[in-house]
Amino acid sequence: MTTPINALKLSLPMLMLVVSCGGPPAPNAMLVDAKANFEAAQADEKIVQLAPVQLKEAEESLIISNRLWTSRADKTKIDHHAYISDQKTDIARETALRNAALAEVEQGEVERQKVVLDVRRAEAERSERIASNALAQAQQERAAVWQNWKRVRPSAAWCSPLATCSSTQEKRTFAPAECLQWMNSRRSWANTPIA
Amino acid sequence: MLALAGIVLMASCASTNPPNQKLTETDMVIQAAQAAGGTEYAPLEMREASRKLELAREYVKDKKFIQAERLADEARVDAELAHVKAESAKAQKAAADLKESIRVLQEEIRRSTQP
Repeated sequence: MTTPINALKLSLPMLMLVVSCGGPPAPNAMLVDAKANFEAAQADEKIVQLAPVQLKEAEESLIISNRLWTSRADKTKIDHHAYISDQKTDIARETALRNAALAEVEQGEVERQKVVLDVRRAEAERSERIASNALAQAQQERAAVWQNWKRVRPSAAWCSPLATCSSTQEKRTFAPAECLQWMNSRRSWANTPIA
Repeated sequence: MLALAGIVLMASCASTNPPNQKLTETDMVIQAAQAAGGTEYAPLEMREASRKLELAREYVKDKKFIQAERLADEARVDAELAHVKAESAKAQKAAADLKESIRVLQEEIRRSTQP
């Protein structure tokens, strides 16, 4: 005769046997997620190159978690190591992004310095161009005025000691010394006075 | 028989001392993450880290050292993640700013080479 208690006594070892030897253990959600996360990171060439240590640490925790799972250890322990692995994979991913950005900054500094030099050169060229344009214009104006003077005083004898000069605007006559002074005062825009 | 039970008990409760050093270390990792801007750039991870460290301290008070150690370990990786997230965000911003400044300079060159 089997009492319920006896039945339980008998079925308990049976149950344990079934649980312990019934094929692979039931999947652990956190371990599955951590594994997927790690495998995705491992397939990313950038992470493998830029954060190898962090990736290795993630793998180590994943292996521990997986071993605990296959040996049907306490779920809390499996979850704990799966969590650590999952976070370390994220750390590896973020580390790779950080290192890539830092390399970009380093490279950018060099490029920026080069561009700053380019800017200075372009500015210098621009100033040079403006200056030479201004000079050419001044020379042109000076030549024009000169031509005008020649037209006004066709004799061009105004610089001889005996010359007197006058302008069409101001009907005046000067002694030679005064003449030069007067001309230079009219020609204040010119760099060199007429000697 | 009693000795065997004792060994089993010892083995199952490996940590018979409070994990004080681990708690201190985790606290330092959290503070470093805060200093790096973790609260600004990774608020969720920072919150998790602080919460778990607090919980770990509660467990220590209750003499549940294994649970305390486990939580301290988790808090530590949370803080480490927050730390590197902050650094990553800042580095990416710096790279983007630099790229923009280079673009502006190049634009300036284009403008000044035009007559």
